Amino acid sequence: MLKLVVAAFLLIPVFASGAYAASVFPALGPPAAFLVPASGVSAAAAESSHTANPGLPSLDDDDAYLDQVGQSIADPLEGFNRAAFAFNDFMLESVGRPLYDGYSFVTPEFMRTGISNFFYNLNFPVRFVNNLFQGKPLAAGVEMSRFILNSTAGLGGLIDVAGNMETVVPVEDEDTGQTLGTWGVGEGFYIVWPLLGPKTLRDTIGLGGDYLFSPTTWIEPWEVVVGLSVTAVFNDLGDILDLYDQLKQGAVEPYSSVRDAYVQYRRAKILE
Amino acid sequence: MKRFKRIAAALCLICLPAFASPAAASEARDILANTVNQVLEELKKPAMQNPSTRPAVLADIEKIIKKLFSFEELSMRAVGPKWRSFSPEQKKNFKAAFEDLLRARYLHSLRGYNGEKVTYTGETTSSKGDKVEIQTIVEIKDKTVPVAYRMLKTDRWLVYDVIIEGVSMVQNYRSQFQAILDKGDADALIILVRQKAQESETGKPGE
Repeated sequence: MLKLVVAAFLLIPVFASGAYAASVFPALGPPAAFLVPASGVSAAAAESSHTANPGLPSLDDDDAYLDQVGQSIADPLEGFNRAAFAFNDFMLESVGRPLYDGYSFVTPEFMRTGISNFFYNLNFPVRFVNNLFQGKPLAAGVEMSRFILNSTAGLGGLIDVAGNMETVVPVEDEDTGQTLGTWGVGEGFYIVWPLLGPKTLRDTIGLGGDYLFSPTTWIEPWEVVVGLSVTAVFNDLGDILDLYDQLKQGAVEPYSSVRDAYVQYRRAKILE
Repeated sequence: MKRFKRIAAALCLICLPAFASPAAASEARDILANTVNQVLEELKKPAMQNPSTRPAVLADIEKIIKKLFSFEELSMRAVGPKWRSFSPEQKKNFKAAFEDLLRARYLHSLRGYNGEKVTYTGETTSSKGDKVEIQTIVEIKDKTVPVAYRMLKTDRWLVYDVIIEGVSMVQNYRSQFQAILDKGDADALIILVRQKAQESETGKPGE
């Protein structure tokens, strides 16, 4: 049981990374997502005819909207989920936000970024292994190169020296939930975990896999593991709070909005 | 000029079907890029920095973006199948409330604008050439976010969906409205959307 709790905390850093947070509540969009300056049209890209959003109906099928049903995933635990959603909302707004405001007031931004980089770098095995499992050896190689660069020249991962360096441009984060999806495992139903937030059944199982691949899992004693994990989560809370704000600002029915955004996002991640 | 482009696109459709689609997509992209460049020009105005003159700038921006979105399509698509059971009056009221909500959200999002860079990465055209998806990448700090616009050709190209990180805004609203319509009727939905729009306009929550 304890191990499970530890697992739960451990995995948050993976999911609490900015990129993930930016996408849990994507419907609200990044601040300037609607802005499209006409600069930088790439000729090669303009010729591409691929669909960037394979999870959605194709343009040709996009007229059938009036007959599509709204709910995108089974939600048999809706009663429990709504309670957990309310609990998480309370934890974010009444506990997380005041604590984080205090923390960010006394902790300079470069330190917060460093801590965030450190934990992201540390979780490299999760991304590496899942790239391999999904048959993406090139992306796995990029992850490996970035890990080596950042662990050495980047002082153990504190500094993201690899940044946007050519040949090691960041690849998409891969996790075990996505691997299971790629292998054809169904997503199951929707479930909102207290503290962990929205998941599908498949992604919940994926958490277990990520836990196994995460190096911090194997640290003794477990108190250290919990301490590290809580630090990692808390340090990245700012991103989550920002996005949560934007979500609430745009949503008429926040519970359904988060459920749909989460499911759409995860489906898109598996198809990419 | 735009008229010429349309004519050119139409000619392509007749003469060279194979080339029709890229022309249509480019035309839609020009409209999108034009609109947004206008918005950016407004944002750069010194008046934007002054709290007393800012509302006037925002009002101008509002006028510019209004021409880019099809609120009719957005409303129909966001409501889904039940749209057919709305009375003309309800459709009108819903459209007005939803437009207010989207506008408030858009204007809110502009406040955080920080010179983000946007790159066009691709375009997809429907086989009939009446719809396009313009794909872009927005760079925010050290992150990149894919944003796509789906546009439909009526008398001009209009945006009917915005897709961020693979998540369709319209589908997201549809799931919310479905949940509300399962329990209440169209009028209840209109009231909720109107409330949310008012709340957003006054800048709460999340300030």
